[in-house]
Amino acid sequence: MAEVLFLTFAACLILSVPVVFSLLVASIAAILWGGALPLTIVPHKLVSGIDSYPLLAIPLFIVFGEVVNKGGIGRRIVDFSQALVGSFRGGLAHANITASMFFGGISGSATADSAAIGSVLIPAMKRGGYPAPFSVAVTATSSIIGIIIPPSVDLILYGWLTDTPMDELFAGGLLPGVLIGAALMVVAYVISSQKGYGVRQPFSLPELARKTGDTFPALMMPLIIIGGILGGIFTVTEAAAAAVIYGLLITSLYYRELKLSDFPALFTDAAKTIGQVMFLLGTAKVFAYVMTIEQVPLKLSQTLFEALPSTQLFALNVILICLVVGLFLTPAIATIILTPILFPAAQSFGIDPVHFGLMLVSGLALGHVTPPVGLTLLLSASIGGITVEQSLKSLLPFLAMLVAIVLVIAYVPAITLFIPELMR
Amino acid sequence: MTATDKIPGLSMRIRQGLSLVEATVAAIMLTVMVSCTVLQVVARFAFNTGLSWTDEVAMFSFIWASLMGAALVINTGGAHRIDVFVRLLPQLPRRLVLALVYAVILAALSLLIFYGLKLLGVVHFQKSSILKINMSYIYTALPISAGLMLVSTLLDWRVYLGDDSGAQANG
Repeated sequence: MAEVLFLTFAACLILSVPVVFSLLVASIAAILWGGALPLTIVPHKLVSGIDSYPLLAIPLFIVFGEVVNKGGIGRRIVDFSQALVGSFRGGLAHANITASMFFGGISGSATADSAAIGSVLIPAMKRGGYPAPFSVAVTATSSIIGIIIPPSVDLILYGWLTDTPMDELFAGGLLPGVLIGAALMVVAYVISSQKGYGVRQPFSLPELARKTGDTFPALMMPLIIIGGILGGIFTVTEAAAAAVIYGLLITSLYYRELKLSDFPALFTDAAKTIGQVMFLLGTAKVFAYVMTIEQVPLKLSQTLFEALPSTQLFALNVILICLVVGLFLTPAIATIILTPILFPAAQSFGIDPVHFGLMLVSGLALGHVTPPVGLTLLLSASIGGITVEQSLKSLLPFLAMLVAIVLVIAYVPAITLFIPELMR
Repeated sequence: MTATDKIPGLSMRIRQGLSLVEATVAAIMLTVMVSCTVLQVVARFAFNTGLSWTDEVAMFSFIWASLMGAALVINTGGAHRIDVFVRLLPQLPRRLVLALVYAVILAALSLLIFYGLKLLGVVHFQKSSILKINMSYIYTALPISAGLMLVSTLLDWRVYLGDDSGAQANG
């Protein structure tokens, strides 16, 4: 039955059946092959897979992301970041990465980050004398910080699939996210210095003060979300609801950019994203159910534990799996499929659940910038008006740095666990 | 000629109609979901009382919004698929593979509708824990969503069976 499940799934994926239907067809085939379960288990597990209170945070953060997106917050964050770090060598690249870090603390998705920041900064960087491929590479790679720094839809999915406390996962994402940002800034600085990209703007304190004043309500968003959760004031779902209220108030009443006429598009876009994630999660729950009946995760975890001599080697394997899977599946999809398979093995190797979550999510996040389906890369390239192929050469140093940092996150648990341990 | 010209126009209108229905239902459900969770947070922090019914209403509207949103994704061609391998095939085998893929998707959706409806007979006797809502009102969302997906997929036949199928398989 397990063989039928995996072979059908692999065959469907390779033949271009959409991922959700591949999961469904494989589960149905395995159930029919086994002959012991009624097929009504499929719709039952699909709906009950969505029917879970902690998951409510996901649609709320997605709605909030749309509010922020359509309310012009991205542009303000970019302006502020430019005033903050624009005076360094490669200033606009640093502004781009800094904006991604702030935006990462607001939105839970990497593509939202690319769209919001890239649409403002890629044209600005091109005007400022940065080549388009370089601007695209900076935007695409820094956008993945969006799913590392909390809030993060991917971390919520992982937390729910593994019963890991979501506040600890969010706390765990903070330092790795900042580390990725800092590392990308180093690459941008070295390349900009070597090639003489960009014009250095003088640093101006009054300008920074003015931008800070204008952006202040937007900058409060990460504070409310991250501070509220880490401070134990909000649960993750409550923080998401609070963020929606706050976001609606400041974008419609304070900045006056979100109009009533924006709402139909806002809800349609949010519904599509929510539908995509949740239907996938439902079908993956059916798949995981069949897998658990066959004790696949348990057997796999025993096999891996006997085959791999050390935790370090297991971690290396996880990163390699992430890199390969990331070529073909988006991080959210891959997180939903791989977590139930790999988590029991990670536990038998004694890896902390919060640490493993960040290892897996940051490893899979690389899939956002690797073709053929790297979504932030595709999006950034299309904003920059170049093809993905044209951006590859500039992408390489940034991607190499990301791989290195993911390995650091995997091998130095303290980076992830420092803040969660303060909370325990 | 005229007959074949009319069909895309009609299918386009059906598609737009479906999108409108799916988006409207999803938007209403999302509004209910957001309002309930917001009310819940306000009740807890401002009045220091927990409401229990808001959780349940939020969950039910969340399930409906998710499944309507999923139908909207299928209708607008946004389902994620890996088509790099199929693109490598010569035309004839590619057309055969895509025909097979089409049959597989239609079969999966038909089974989902059939067993989704069958499940309603079972959950009909269950009531939600707080508001005592009949659970079949929640589970109805699945066969409806799968039915909408089936109609959109049937309208997509050109993508899988048309002369240039595979050239635009990725929506």
